[in-house]
Amino acid sequence: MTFLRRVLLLFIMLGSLFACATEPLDETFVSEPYVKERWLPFLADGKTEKNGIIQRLGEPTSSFQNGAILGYRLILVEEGRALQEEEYRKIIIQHDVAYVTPYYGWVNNRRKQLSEKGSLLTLREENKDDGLFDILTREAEYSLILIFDDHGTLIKHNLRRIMP
Amino acid sequence: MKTFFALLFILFSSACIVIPTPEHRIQGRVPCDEEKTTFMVKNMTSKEEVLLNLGEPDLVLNRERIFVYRWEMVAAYFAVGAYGGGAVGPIQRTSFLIIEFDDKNRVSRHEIRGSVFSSRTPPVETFKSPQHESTPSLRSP
Repeated sequence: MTFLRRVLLLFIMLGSLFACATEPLDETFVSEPYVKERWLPFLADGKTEKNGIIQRLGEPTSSFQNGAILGYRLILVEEGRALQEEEYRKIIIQHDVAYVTPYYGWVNNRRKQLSEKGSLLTLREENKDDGLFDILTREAEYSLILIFDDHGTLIKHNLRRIMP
Repeated sequence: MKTFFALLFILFSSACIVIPTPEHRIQGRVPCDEEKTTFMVKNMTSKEEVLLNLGEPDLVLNRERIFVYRWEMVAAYFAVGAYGGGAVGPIQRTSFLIIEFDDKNRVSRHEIRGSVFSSRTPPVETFKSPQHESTPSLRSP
């Protein structure tokens, strides 16, 4: 009986371990539709003005066709905190462990927290050095393309997740 | 003699192995591979459409005449073992999507180039358009 109990216990432990080890990566909170609705609800084709967008997102990362097309490189990061080196290392290690094992519990939890308290930061040449730790620990990176008409009204836009 | 055997032992106890795998991505940009470029039609597809579909390029050359997208895929893993230590890591294959536009901002050419087992970025001159030999305006978003 004792032997059977031990075998049963072993199976339960192994079952729990495999259940943990196979937690899949949850893409809900970093998906393009979610991010667009959560952080960019003000973008409306045929309505939103270029100045209004620049006021909200800051200067664009890139510009094409004499400013008729603007590009924003956006990263999903923790809001309003200067990331310290120790924390940066911790995030990097947790990420590596998650993707190698693969046990995505920590990543899923971070994504959920970012969906509540995170922010979309615009990357530009000027803030690349200051926000280096933020860039390296970003949970996701997006490219937002905005196309304007001659009057500066948004006519088309698209958000593409480009990393990871 | 003992030293000789010790050295011989160390020499023969070290090894390196490369394990090829199906190409897969572990980090970095989403690939702009053949599948993602099916929408592009020569002399038809506009720069706007390219940007909307693929996002900002990683490199812009020749006054927006050439866009370059770069991504890396793991093609194999290496494992090095020696007496008292060892290391394992991915071997990445770098690929580039190079798109060239004509005067009307339509796609005039596009190709995917890969550098097998190398992550070194080819020199900028490689991407210079034969039609436009002017100094490239280099911007990395």
